[in-house]
Amino acid sequence: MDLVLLLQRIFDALFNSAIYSSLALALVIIFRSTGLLNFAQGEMATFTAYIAFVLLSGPQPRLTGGGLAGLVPGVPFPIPLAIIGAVVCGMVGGAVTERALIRPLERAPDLALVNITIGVLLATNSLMGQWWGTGPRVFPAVFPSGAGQNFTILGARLRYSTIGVWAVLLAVLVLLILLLRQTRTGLAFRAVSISHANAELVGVRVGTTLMYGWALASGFGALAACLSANSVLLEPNMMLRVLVYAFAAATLGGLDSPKGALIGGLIIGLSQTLIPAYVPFIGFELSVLPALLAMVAILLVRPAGLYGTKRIERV
Amino acid sequence: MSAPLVVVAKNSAEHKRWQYVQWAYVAGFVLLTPLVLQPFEIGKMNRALIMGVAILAVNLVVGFNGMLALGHSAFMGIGAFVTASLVQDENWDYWMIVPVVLIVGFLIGVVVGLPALRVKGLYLALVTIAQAAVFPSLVNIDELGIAARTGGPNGKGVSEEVIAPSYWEWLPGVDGARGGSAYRYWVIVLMVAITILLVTNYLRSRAGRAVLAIRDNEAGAAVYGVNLPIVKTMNFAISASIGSLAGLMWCMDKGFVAGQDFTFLLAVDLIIGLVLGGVGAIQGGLVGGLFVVWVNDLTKRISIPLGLYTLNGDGPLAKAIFGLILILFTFFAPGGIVSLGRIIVNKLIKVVPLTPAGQPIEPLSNFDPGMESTRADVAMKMSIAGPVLLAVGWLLMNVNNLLVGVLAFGLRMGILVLAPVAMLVGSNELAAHADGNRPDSAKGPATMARTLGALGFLFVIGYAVQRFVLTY
Amino acid sequence: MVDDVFDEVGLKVENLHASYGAVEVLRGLDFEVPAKNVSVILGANGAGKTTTLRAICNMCNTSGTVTLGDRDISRTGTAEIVRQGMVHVPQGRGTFPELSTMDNLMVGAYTRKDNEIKDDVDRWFEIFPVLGERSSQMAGSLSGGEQQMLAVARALMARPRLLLLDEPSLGLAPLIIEDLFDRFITLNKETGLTMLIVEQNANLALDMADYAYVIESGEIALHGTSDQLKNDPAVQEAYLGA
Repeated sequence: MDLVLLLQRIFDALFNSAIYSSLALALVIIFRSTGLLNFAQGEMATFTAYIAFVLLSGPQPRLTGGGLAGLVPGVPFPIPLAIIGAVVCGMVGGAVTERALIRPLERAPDLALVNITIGVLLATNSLMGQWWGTGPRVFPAVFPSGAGQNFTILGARLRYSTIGVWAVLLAVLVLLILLLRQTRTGLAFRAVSISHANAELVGVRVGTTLMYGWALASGFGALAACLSANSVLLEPNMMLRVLVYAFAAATLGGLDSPKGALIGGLIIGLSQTLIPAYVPFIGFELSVLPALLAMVAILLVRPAGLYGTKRIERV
Repeated sequence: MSAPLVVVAKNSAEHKRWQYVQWAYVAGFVLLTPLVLQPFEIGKMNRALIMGVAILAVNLVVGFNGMLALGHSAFMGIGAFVTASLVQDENWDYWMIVPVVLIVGFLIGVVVGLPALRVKGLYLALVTIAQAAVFPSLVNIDELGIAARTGGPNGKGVSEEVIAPSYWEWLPGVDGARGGSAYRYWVIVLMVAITILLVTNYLRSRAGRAVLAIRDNEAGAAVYGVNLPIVKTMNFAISASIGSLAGLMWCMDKGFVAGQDFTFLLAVDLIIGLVLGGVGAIQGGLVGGLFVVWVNDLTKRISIPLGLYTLNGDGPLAKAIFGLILILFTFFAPGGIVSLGRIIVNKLIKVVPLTPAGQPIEPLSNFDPGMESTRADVAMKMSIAGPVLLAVGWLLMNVNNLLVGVLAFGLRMGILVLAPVAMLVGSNELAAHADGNRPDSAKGPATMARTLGALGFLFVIGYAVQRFVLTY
Repeated sequence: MVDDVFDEVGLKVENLHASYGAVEVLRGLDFEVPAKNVSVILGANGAGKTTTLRAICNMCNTSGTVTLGDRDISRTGTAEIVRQGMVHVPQGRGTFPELSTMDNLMVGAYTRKDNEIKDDVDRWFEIFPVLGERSSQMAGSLSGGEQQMLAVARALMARPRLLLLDEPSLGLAPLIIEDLFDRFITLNKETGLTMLIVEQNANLALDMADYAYVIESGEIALHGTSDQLKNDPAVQEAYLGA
């Protein structure tokens, strides 16, 4: 086996792993607090990437779908500001979705909530196609990722963009953990994740806390989309495939564990690249297969995932 | 709540009359479809019926067993590919493939269901969606000769189109020019009818009751001796084999199958159809199938200018409409179109069930408002409204606008319900008047409702017969 | 020295109805919990005791008037009621098993913004030393009695003016129950904390309460001072096993 090639493949896989981890993190935040899988997470994130794209491009009517031109700022934003803008929009969008579509269905069966998130998925996807067209757009690179912009370690190239994405992801994860562990809101959030009724009894406003959770998750999603838009090309279906991997990653790590989301994303990202490379049976076409098999297997053997909390079901 | 317009005892002559009207409509709809529609529209109807069967399969698991299994697009794909391969590579006849597809679907259902049904709720949704997501790439595997059988990324065509053998050419719509789609329509209608019959009986059987019990209270069912894993897995496998049957019909109808036809998006279409039609209602599948296919078709024709911007239906608009429909139905009509229909029917008619001795469990007079009844007036208005709407619909038909077109169609269809209801209520009220339960002033409107309603109903039947004779 | 922590407040309930779906569980309750008193609600299983506490906190479908101090709280949300100074320790304790003992106490003080929270934690650790020993342990790993103490301490972290306790003795060994009730009495005597306790263990409850109500089928069947009820032949037969 060629060790340099192996190392190179691992380095290449790390970029995708970070993206899967961040979207998985978004899924985990919502699942933890509401026990709900947000199938629309990817599309909501893509939408904010388009917002960043519009902010970056300034007022070009072709990009903004005519009617929206008035809302676009007169000057193109620098990349960091555009991403912050997108994250803020994502957070507002997440909060509004929770308040308008999820909270009224608090007591509805699972199917109803699945339907709502699939409905949001379809509507958002279509809206993006209507406004910005279905063709791919070139989103500028957030971190330098051109030829030669890399470290060379043991003969394998580690791109700056991979390091950048991981730096952002780890920073955000640390912030999240600090938020959960050290702040009053974080404590309320953890309480709500365990029991809505008991949280209410200590004076936590559950609805508002869940809304914050959705905002936080959608902010993460926005970040993931903006960071990956350059490498996968910005188009309405951009995150659909990523979402499948993120689900696999989140399930693998345990749907209620932020740490699990990180590790899960890493495992899924690496297996996606390494397994097709070394197992002849599985071509690139099937690279999604190991991830999904891993997800199904973990659900059967250890439904709580690698790092998730085991819950006892009362009958 | 206002009293229903007609109150009948179950299985009474009046109830039977009401049912005859319903069956006449179903028969008329089924018979006229291949005659009055264009060949490509018959193709759409075929697709709607196939989707209907697939949605029924999903319903069996989601609606009747309460398990969130959302990946039936894969079972459809399996049925379709098995069919394509056996027809094209082995020269089998379709009718020989039916049992094969059913058995293959069932076995795969057992293999998938046994492990998958150990997890519940949203976890099961995840597993089954994964199944839907991975299927299109599975058919491309080169090993085991899979790609050779399925045609891989190119898909697999069936070279011979299914057309009617000469001894079936008397079927409505099946003649030389467009025999293919109409003949396939009849084959599909037959399979749909048999499937619905079997599923209805299954749900009424001992096994079916266990399936329903699990949905309503899983722990409770287990306590009463229902073997959860076996019942769930069997039900899932039956559902999978029905899904595969839908795949067989798909292959037979289109003559071409490809992995890209059976993606996650097809699974989403099935969910939309399920919610739109009615979760937990047998008819829900067919209603949902019809709506998914025709709403898709209608949105494709939309073109609305909005200032600088034109809203065009041939792009991704259909998805937005379906997304919106999903959300709106979840909020305002969780029982789907079937439950909305039931609300209307309940306003029109109340069927009082019978005791074992054959008597109504409640005297019908409990529902009879007596002298102050305004039913005759309502019926008279309905009997007049039918023809009026028909005329207005006819006039609007010539306006060249999609929305007006749909509206005009709806108005013309109004007489289908209004005329027979007016007729039935009119004769009911006349009988009540003869018994002395109505004032004399009600006699005039009731007579008019009965006469005009009967005329309207005769017109509907006459029109249908005339279309039938002319086109057949 | 801690007298100033708790204000004087009373609870007044008028014509309280509650239902789950079509089933009406409470059919017009009227009662009062005077400030600084311990009142107790007795009744058989299914009489509506737990529902009474839930209805007071607006956790189910209710109608009627509930007044806390001088404020009408009949339409106030559960989380807001905590901010008004009434804290409910539900049946089954309502602790957060996956949070540490310390975090459970901290979340109990969620509604407070003053800087004496740490002092209060120390104070409850002093009163319930076993909680101090287990402060970093997950609440789910505490024993039943410890969890019950944690539930009470957590409720007190909010500095309530009124405490609602739902069957604090449930599932505890008799010795632990006596210990726990002693602490309730001390709390009431030392701080003047008003309490409304729902209990099945009538002997114990009547010993500590000032006033008692007996609920039957969602209605108040009897009420009086504890001494009056203790001597009531009907109560003796039905609840005291005499």
